[in-house]
This record gives sequence, structure tokens and C-alpha cells, in this order.
Amino acid sequence: MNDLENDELGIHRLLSAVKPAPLPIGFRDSVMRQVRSDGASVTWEWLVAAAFAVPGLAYLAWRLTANGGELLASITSILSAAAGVGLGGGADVVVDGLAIMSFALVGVASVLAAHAMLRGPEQERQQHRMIAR
Amino acid sequence: MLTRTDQEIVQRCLSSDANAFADLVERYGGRVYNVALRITHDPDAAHDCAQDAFIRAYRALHQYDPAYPFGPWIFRITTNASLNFIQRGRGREITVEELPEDPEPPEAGPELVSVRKEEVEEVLAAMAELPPAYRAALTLRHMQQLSYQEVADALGIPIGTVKTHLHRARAALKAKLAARRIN
Repeated sequence: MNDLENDELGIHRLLSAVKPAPLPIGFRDSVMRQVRSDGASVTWEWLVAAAFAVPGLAYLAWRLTANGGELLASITSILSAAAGVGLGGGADVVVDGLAIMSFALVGVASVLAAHAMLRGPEQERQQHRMIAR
Repeated sequence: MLTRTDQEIVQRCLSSDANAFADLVERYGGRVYNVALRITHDPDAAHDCAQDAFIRAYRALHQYDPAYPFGPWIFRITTNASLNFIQRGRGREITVEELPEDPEPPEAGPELVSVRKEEVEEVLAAMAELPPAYRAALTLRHMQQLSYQEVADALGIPIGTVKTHLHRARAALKAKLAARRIN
């Protein structure tokens, strides 16, 4: 520290003479335990998010391939009606219980994934690297 | 044994070697704990704040810029954790605004030449009466021996504000020490 000014010499001498308190025993281990459990919990969050998302997305994808044509026709009719272009078309959208549950599962998975992403951006990158391999 | 630089250790942590972080805890644990201790004046709180600071640092390692030294970065996290701790419902603390802008220097100022154990205890007790922001500035500057720039980086405030804070903090500390001696 070479920018010490004259008016701070007295206090500096006094405060720099204060002996540092010893680090509590086991401090390093307790930090490292938390660091490791932090990494493990992020991994778990990704796994649980995947377990929720995969069946939900699979069901929604299957519904889309099975009834995608009807859905597209309905959306087109709704958009046409909203734009005032054509009012003749009907719009039928059937949402079953499984679809609602799938949306809910994907929603929960998204929340978990967002949390894991915020907590461990680096671990997330590692997972992506592992998937890429 | 080859000693790794802080930046090398951070790099290892970022390339999935979480155990390398233990070296940083070993290297900075004492200083981080002491910064937290001087700001909170409570060993248990200091332990929690120091631990919290390391966990936060670990989670934010990807944000650390290796062009800058690691010390002020971890001190900044520690200072924030400690000041947040004080702000969150501990007993009422004096704020910076409550102190006079430039306290009158004591007429018979304390002789700050030789430092005895009692003097050190007196200084620590007087420091405890200062606002947390002043305690943080004094700790980083005089106990951790940081430069003005490093203190500014650690506190996240401009260097001019650091100088003002320190000037007022020293004056307040001298006044409190003088008052203690008169009593």
C-alpha cells in the first residue's frame, strides 16, 4: 500500500496493529461441503426438470402430430375472424386432461431449469458439453 | 511445490474442478472472515457472512474478470454480504448520514504512536460505534491494507467517495477515542 497519506498515518498505525482473528476451525471444510452440495443439487434440479419435461413434451408433440391439422385450421379461423377477413370458419380446440397435465409438467420443468441455470451457469455449460459429446 | 495464481485456480474451478476452490478459501478465508468480523462485530455472523461470500463467489466465478485481482472482488462480495446482514433486522445501527459531516478533531488528540493491547481493544470498541459503511472502509483500507482504488472496487463506489468516507470515518473514530479517554 504505497498511497498512504500523511493524515492517515496515525489511524493506520493503530488499525494495522489489530491482530487478525483466527479463522474458525472447520471453516474451509464447511464452505467446501456447501460448494459440493451446491453442484450436486444443481445436477439434481436438471435431472428432475428433464424427468418432468420429457413425458409432457412427448405427449404434446404426439397430440400435435395427431391433431395438428385441426389445430392449425382452428387457429387460422380465429385469426381470420379477428382480422375481420372471414367469419365462416369454425374453430374447435379440444384440450384433454392429459394435455393440461403436460403443460403443467413442462411449466414446472421450466421453473426448475431456470433456477438451475441461475445457480450454476458453468455447470449448465458442462452439461451441454457432455450432451454434445 | 508450484503455487498457482488466483486466476489459474479460478480457471480450474470453471473447468469443473470444484475442489480447486478450496485453495481460494484457504488463501482468502482469514481475510474474508476478518472483514466480515469487523463490519458485523459478531463472530457467528462473521462466520455466516464469510461462508455466504464464498458460496456467492463460487456461483459467480464465471463473472469474475481475471484481468483484475481476486482479493478486492471477494472483499466486495463479503462487504455486501456483511452490510446486508446488518441491514436485515439486526439492532438499529447508526447511518453515515447521522454523523456530523466533519466531526471536530479532539483538542487533546490521542497519541497514536505506540499501540498497546488495551488501545487495540479501545479502537475496536470505538469502531463498533461507527456506521457500518465507515467500518467497512476503515477495515479494507487500514486492516486489509488495500489501496484507494481497491477499496473503491471492493465497495463499488467512486474513489472520491472512498476518500470522503475514510476522512470522516477517521475523524469520527478519533473523536470517539478521545471521548472514551475523557470518560
